[in-house]
Amino acid sequence: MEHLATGNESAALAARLARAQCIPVYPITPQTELIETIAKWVANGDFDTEFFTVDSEHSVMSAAVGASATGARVFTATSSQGLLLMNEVLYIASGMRLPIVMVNVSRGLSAPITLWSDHDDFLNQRGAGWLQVHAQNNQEVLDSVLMAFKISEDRRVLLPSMVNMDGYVLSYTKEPLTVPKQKDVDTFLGKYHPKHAYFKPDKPLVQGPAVLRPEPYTYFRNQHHQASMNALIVMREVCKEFKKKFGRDYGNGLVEEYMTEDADIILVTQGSISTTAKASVNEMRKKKKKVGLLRLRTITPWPERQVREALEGARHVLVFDKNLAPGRGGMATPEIKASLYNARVEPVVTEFIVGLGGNPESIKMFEHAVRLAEHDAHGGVYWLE
Amino acid sequence: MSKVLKYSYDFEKGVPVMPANASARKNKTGTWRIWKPEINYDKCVKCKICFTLCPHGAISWKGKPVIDYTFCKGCLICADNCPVKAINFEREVK
Repeated sequence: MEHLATGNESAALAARLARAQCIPVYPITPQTELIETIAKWVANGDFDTEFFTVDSEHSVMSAAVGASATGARVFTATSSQGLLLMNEVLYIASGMRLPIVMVNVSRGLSAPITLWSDHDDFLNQRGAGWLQVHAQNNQEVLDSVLMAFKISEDRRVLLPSMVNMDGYVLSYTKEPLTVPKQKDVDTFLGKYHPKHAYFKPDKPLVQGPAVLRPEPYTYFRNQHHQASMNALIVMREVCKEFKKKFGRDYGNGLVEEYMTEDADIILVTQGSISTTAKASVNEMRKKKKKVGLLRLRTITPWPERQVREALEGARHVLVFDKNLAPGRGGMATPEIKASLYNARVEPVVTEFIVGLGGNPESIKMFEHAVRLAEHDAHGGVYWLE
Repeated sequence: MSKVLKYSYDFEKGVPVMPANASARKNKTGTWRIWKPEINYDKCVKCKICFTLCPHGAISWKGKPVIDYTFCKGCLICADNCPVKAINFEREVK
């Protein structure tokens, strides 16, 4: 079925298709439309779910943890400052191994306060133990949320997932959307029957109990890490199954390679700027420049091998960071550099800080970046507009 | 001596969950009590507020509120919230 939907609507559609049983929410620009859409469906009787608003994002995640601990399928959404307020409970959700799925509509962080999109909020949560997927368009938002439920509820993983879409650029922009049939989604996802997280009066259970000795704490943290690394395998399987069922291909689900096989220069992007970057790659290919693009789709767990294999052999790697850790620079650049440490031929990695506070990226900007990088043998840092 | 830790992934044991075996019933918290609440049934209006608010569930409902002194810690939340001041308390010397 063809639809015209904003990013917010596609995420809401995905929650409805997945038959999320509990949705605690708190509104925040640019995510508000998402929960308004769900609220409208619930009011009209189109969506049978436990939908409620609470007093803050900290409470949203606490409610989500409580609901998921009973064995329900839980969905929620937030953005920027809201995600930071959730921070404490994010660690609890992942530590208790509760497969909550959350959509984050990325927005820059205060101060100075902004409403426009950059990736600071999302990338700041890399240590929270969640699985993090970064979508590039509205179709991928819908598909990623469906896949996220499947990956999170897999027994080899059992970790919460965060699906990120860029505020405004995706969240408020209508794009053509292919909506899968409810019947197909039901068979794809199946029912969620947890064996570790359920609250029943006749079988009392403590979840996430106090572990006061370092040995068991180390054990549980190790299990958490292994579960996250297992997700690298599960994601590939789920993407393959998704392609079989719905026909849309996300490759291995970890990274997307675009014209990288013979490329001398590879751009590294994530999120919605990748679509502009792809257009610039097409333009530069017309001018006989061997340019390719690597899109980081999964941020946590970090697909080190896939990144290395895609990038080794290129002369220049240009990392576009739509985020900033002041005092360090972009957050993706160190990861890319670390992944390339054991490469056969190490390329020169040049760092570009772009699109902060929703600064728009253009094809010209990417072409300018390539010109800069070609004349830089040492891999500098550039701020572009 | 230090050693290299090796764990295999075990989803059954690797999730921090443990059975709760009604441990509150085993822990006789009545010995903690310093203040002892007593209900004056002449004043009691049977509003069930003390029954609802008791954090330990030490007040049971048998047509009227009854305090189980094996578990009552003497926190006096019941006395504090009684609308008709039917719960008196005095210091218990042990």
